[in-house]
Amino acid sequence: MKRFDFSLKFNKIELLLTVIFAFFLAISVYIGIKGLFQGHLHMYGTTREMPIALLLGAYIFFVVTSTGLCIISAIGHVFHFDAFAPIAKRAVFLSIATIMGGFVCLMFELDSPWKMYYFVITPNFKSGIWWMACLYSFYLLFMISEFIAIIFDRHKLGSILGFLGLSFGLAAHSNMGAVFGTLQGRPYWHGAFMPIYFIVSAFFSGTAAIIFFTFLSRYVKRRPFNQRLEHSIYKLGWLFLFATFIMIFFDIWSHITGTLAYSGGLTQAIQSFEGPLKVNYWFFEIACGLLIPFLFVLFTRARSQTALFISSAICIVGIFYMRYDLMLAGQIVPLWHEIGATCANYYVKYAPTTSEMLVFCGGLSFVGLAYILGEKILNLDENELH
Amino acid sequence: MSNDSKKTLDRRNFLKITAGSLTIISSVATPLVAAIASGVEKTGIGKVEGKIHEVTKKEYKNSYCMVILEDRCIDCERCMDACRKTWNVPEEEYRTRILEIENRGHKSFLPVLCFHCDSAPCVVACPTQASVKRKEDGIVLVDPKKCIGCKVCMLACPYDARYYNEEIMAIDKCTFCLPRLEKGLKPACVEACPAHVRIFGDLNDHDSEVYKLLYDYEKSIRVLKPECNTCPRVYYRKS
Repeated sequence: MKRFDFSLKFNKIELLLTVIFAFFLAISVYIGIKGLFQGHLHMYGTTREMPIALLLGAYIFFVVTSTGLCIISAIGHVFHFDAFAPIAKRAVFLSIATIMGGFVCLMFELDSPWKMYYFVITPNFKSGIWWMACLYSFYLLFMISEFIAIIFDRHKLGSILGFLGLSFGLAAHSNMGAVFGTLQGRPYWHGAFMPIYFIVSAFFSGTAAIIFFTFLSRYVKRRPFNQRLEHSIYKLGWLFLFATFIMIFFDIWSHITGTLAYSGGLTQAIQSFEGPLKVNYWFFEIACGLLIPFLFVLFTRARSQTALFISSAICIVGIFYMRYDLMLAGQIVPLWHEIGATCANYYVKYAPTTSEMLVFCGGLSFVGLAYILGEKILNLDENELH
Repeated sequence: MSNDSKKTLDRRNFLKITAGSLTIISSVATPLVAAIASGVEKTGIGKVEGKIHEVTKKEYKNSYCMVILEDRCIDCERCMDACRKTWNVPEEEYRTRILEIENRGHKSFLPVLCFHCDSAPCVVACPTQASVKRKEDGIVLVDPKKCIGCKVCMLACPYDARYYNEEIMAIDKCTFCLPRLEKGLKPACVEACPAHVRIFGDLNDHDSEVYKLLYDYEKSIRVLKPECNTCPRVYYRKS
């Protein structure tokens, strides 16, 4: 099999998807640049009370997935579990594509991104965000290097780079959890739970994403899986089931502590059947993100490929809502509510604007476009790792 | 022979795992060390209970702080107007505001602003050092040219003291009217208040009103959200 294939022979579906993704990416870049000149005040739905929302949620969705894919790739490529080796190359590539998709969202979420050179000129070593940016830069560098090493069959070097990528990925990702966990004024985020939750949910997102994209390659290319890949998918199915179970376990305890302890209105806002996030939480997070995929895969014993594909697809939708709700939930109770201010006796409202949704679509389109071109040019199926 | 090769393999694996674990631990530990280092500066709520003056006197040349006599506020909002006019604060935003508090049917008004915390979470959170705490007087300032608009300081501040100002393309907040202080004037909100609610001064000056109010042990003083451990420089007490 050739290392690169620049013939770019698209079938109709691939061509259609490529055009759609390129279109949305272009629109997203246009809106993002327009927002930089016009200001986000009139283009985005964020406010003083809710300064971060959809776009940061989207960024977290992408980087959580990226870290998860890195973990999954490392199982096969770094720790040499043979069953996961066939999906390692695709996982490494997608971990790069997803984090870049996250950067698209982040770049247009920042109000003045052109001043980012101050990260280097006047760094604040106490800042979690500074460490996150620094560690993710190294993570990206090592993941790209690992991918290049895999392409050129330098697997020993690739393993070392993969290991470094994994180390920096875990450090960066737990650090991102700590960015939220250290915010003492925000009870929903504050605490040591956040970095651990971020890592565990990354593992969960990674399994769902790799299952989804591996199946997607089969459906788009109309090429059946080989035996090794089929076995790999079966093992991934059980890993996915295990990850979903851990997430359900986390959620059950989050419910119990939220119900038993005083939460300043947070539990009512998020986890009750009457709160403003009830649909997002109960339908998307719990039903789509956890219960339906878990039961679907469990009852089919991870043997039905259709069940796995559908489960992973709806699970990814649920995971997106988990990130999105995480952002909203931390800010939904106004800061002065706890001291009894009458002006803070409500839940902060937020609805994403069309501009925000289009920028998010741009992030998704970047991943989609990179994936299609990756499959076409870089032969992500190539399976001569060992 | 096979035993030897097995042993070698084991040792190699052991070394691999150890080296790997150390790499992961050290990469996770780096930000952790930074976090701990930043935590060292935190002196805790104990400062408020009788020890504030000693600590602040040592740290700053001019130890500016504000005492708010909370039962005097009548919600006339002149402080808010004065602040807006002095600093061109956009109509829908504010650097200071007055909260209406309802407690068992009793209404009271509580002026709030940036508390210029000694352990300011916004300063720790800012990745580019756009938010700084001045060593000479403890005032927390934002340097607009360094602010990238990530808004993490808005999330970090438990007092809703910050907003993004599109005109200056940076975060904006109360500065204790630093340019006015440099001219020997009081903050605009302090001057505008007809009920003498906001008392501003230098704690290093033992004749100042703030010093006397804070050293008057007959009346208790408090800070808002003490659980956040931010050591604010704005104190509340009854008149």
